[in-house]
Amino acid sequence: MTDAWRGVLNVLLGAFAMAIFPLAAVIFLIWEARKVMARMQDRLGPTNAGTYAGPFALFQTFADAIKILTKELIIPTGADRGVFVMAPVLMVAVAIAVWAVIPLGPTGLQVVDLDIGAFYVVAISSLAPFSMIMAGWSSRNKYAEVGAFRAVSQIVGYEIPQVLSLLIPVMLSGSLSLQSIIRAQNVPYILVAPVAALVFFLASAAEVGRLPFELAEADSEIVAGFFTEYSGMMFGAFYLGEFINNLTASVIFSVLFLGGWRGPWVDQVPLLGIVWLMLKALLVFNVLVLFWAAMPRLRIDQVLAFNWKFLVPLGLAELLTVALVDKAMVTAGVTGGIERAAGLLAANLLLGLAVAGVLSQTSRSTRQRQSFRRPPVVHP
Amino acid sequence: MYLGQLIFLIVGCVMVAAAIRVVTSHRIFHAALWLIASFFCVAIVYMLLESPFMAGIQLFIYIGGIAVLTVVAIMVTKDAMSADSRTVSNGWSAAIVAISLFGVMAWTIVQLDLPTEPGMPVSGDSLPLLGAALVDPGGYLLPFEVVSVLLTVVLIGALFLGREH
Repeated sequence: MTDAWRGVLNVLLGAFAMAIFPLAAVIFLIWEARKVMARMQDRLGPTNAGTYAGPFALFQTFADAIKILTKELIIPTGADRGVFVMAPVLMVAVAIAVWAVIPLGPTGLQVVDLDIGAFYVVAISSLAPFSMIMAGWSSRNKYAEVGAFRAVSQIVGYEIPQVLSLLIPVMLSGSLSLQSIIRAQNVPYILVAPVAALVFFLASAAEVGRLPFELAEADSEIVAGFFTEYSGMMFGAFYLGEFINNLTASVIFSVLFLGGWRGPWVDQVPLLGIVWLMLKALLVFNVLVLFWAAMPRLRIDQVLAFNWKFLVPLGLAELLTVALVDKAMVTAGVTGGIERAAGLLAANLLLGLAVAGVLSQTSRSTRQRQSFRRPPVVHP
Repeated sequence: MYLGQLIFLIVGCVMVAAAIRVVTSHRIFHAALWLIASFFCVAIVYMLLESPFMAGIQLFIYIGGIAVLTVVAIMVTKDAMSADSRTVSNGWSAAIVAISLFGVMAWTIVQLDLPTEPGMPVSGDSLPLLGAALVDPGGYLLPFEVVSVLLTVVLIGALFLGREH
């Protein structure tokens, strides 16, 4: 076997392992999310699924997976077969493809360290709305179509603040490679640019369609949104893709703002990086689950207004603030990592205070305008 | 490299087939999906040319931007989403326009004085060089800024056209 073919084999094996990883993690995460959400709502969650569910119903998801695999795949009569079948495939493929550039540890624990890693994540994610459009269009169902409309208008819009806030770790570390971004985080970027972290988190929550942005499938309004007509494992593929997207969003947030695999003793034991990264991702994931359990669903106009009138301007303001303050500090001769981080944190907190002031001012004036419109009380 | 040529051959065939399906599909939504497949194959070709940045741009601009806009335009067009919508059959005039456009482009490419051997190899990472060239006053700073002004004009124009009366 020549060296070239051995290299190809190595990459293929790495890619295979990396594709298995999110799928395996999701089996556990579905159980975890159900348990955590149940506790938040004062329930017990799954406790046992017959004899084989194991302690705390750990193997509940396996039972569900086997059940869903044995179910019939129903393709509606009027549906466009090819597109209908391709949609769930594309959903899972896109969700897994992002994992090619995620660094699980210092060296080697990554399929490829692309020098455009962060950009690759954004570029591949831009394929995701198509699986929803394809599902919604090919189903020939008005609920599915409404779900697809909502998904597109939401995801395309929220991509903008997501990219704007993604630029801040890129700017601070001077690289698009996720590995270099992690290595540059001597201070986690959530402590350097908390406003950017907030914008990125909210935009990611909207991208993965988690409550309060869960409009594309809004089960109490439009059945199940774009995948209303799916059954069996094709439904399972959408469910799986959605959970992988949630995990991916948490992992990307941990990589960009929480220092990725960095933690104690990673230098001695590189494999420990996976543990630290997954712990951080689990923390972020549980915030998403908390949203899921506790938030009401917004209306579509509220979701779009929140994006275009709040997140996009805030992302632009944050980008300008960080760029100008960082440049000013470098010009003034402040080059130490800690000093720069402190300066940027101060600038971010000032920006946050200004935004809070503007928000309370606007809401007060809105309330006043509404109270003027109220018809005067007529006393008899 | 043998493997690279093999992949290029497969991807090229898929790309051409998808491009042909774009113009022969009866449903306009299918045409849009085949267009996306064709764009995706172009991104793979950029990857084969060891230019991941161009591949990312291809995905981001053409699929994330242009294809999404195309699909949204189809979605908000009356009856275009329904099952029996056919593309307007005005095939012959479209063919004449397309063939003449192809002729002009082919002629231009044939006339172009392409270098026969590779130019200066880029030392190290090419991405920072590209970024520096875009914001270097001696490089492409002026065109870069003109493009951003143009985009702002487009944005304001769209807001003006789309305002509520």
